[in-house]
Amino acid sequence: MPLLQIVYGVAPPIALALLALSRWGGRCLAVAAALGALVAYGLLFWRLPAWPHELWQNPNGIEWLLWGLLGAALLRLGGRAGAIVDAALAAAVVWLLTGKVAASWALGELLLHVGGAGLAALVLAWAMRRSATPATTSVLPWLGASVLLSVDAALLTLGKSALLGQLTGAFAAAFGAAAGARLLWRKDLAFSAPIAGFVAVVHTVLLVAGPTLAYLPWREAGLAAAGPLLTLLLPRGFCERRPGLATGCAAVLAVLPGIAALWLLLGEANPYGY
Amino acid sequence: MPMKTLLLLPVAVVSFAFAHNLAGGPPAAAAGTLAEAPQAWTIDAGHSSVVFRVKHANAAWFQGTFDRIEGAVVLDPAKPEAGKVELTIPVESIDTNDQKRDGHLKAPDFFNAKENPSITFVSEKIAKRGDNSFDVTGTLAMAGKQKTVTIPVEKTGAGEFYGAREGWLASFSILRSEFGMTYGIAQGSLGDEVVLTIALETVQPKK
Repeated sequence: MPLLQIVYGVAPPIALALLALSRWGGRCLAVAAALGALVAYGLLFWRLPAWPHELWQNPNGIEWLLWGLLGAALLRLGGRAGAIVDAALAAAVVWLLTGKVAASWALGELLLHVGGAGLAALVLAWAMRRSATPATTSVLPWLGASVLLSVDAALLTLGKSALLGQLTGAFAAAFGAAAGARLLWRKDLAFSAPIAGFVAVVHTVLLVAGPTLAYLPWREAGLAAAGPLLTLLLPRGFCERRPGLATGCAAVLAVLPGIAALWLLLGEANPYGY
Repeated sequence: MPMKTLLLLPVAVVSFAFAHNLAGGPPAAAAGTLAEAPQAWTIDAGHSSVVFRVKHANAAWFQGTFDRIEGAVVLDPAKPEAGKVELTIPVESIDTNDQKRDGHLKAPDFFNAKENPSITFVSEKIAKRGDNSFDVTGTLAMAGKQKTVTIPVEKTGAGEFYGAREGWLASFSILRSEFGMTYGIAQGSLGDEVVLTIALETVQPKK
């Protein structure tokens, strides 16, 4: 992939994330990441995505996905209510992004996608909130989120959509910028439950988009999506006694199935090797 | 926000999705009704071809084909203004002699075939240009975008082979960026201009 293409994908989210972090701390990072992905899309295609009211008439799955994730970034809630809202948001974004493809689907297939995404986001949001929030001021959850989304980006790229890969990479870059800011600026950034929920929504929705809009096999998408559930293996007592170590272990566990999915895909032919 | 209200949110979203699915999605520009008209000559897919070429790395013209084309033509040279052309090209039939490249071309980076499975052309106006040549103006739709184009069409011949047949040839250029396919243009890896050559053999309907 040419260097300029990569810069277009990661520069806007990094710039916006750093701006948001310096002005408002971690609170607005989700919005900065989602806006960064929208700007990256604009630079990659050299045109702005259609507005939501235009997409209603002429749907485009990827553009709906970007607007949907911006909406999800704006609606951040804490507590149990937050996880339920995250599930509803993930289901809504998947419903929007599959609008055109679903025209040829049976009702059951739509239910499977929309309901499945909602359920997956609910469980993932719960798991990620549980594992990330004990070490809330550590750099590890930010780093873990960035690595998790980077693995998703690599998977989607190998799933024959460099575009979806780059957009996922935009979210990974924003969280990577937060990790960098935490390390270099010694900024006191809290990886709060709403941020953890947002990572769960982005992770779920993009891994549903891969097989639905592009050609990522469901097996690999499902394997990678389920990664954060492994963090539930960590005993609660351990998480409370050693929050830093527990979050580090959780980050590694969450990413392992994604890496296994990548290994499975790498065993097949490189889709860009032509 | 009360917990019970929040629990209703996912139910509301899924219900809305059902309602939308039952109501059907937004209308899409589609070809395919002309073939049912009694006077329409249908396309003999086995003797028709769609070839495209695009510049790779600002160097060579690289060629590919779409292996399937469907549709119909109504064109009386004496009354071209009453004519009509409808074509549908399934994106899945793209063939560039490399399966990996074909897969990438079908992906959202280019044709976005899962959302937009066909390229369609529906004529709106046909004007005579010469004895056997016409300008066919209509809507070309691909990758979720539509654009009005005028295609110069030449009648290449007429014959008999299990029924009356006519041949048509059209060669025209489009800018793929106008259909939202900008991948690789800024880097110069793949050109913006795509030259399409469509050779059709149409068959008179059996009476």
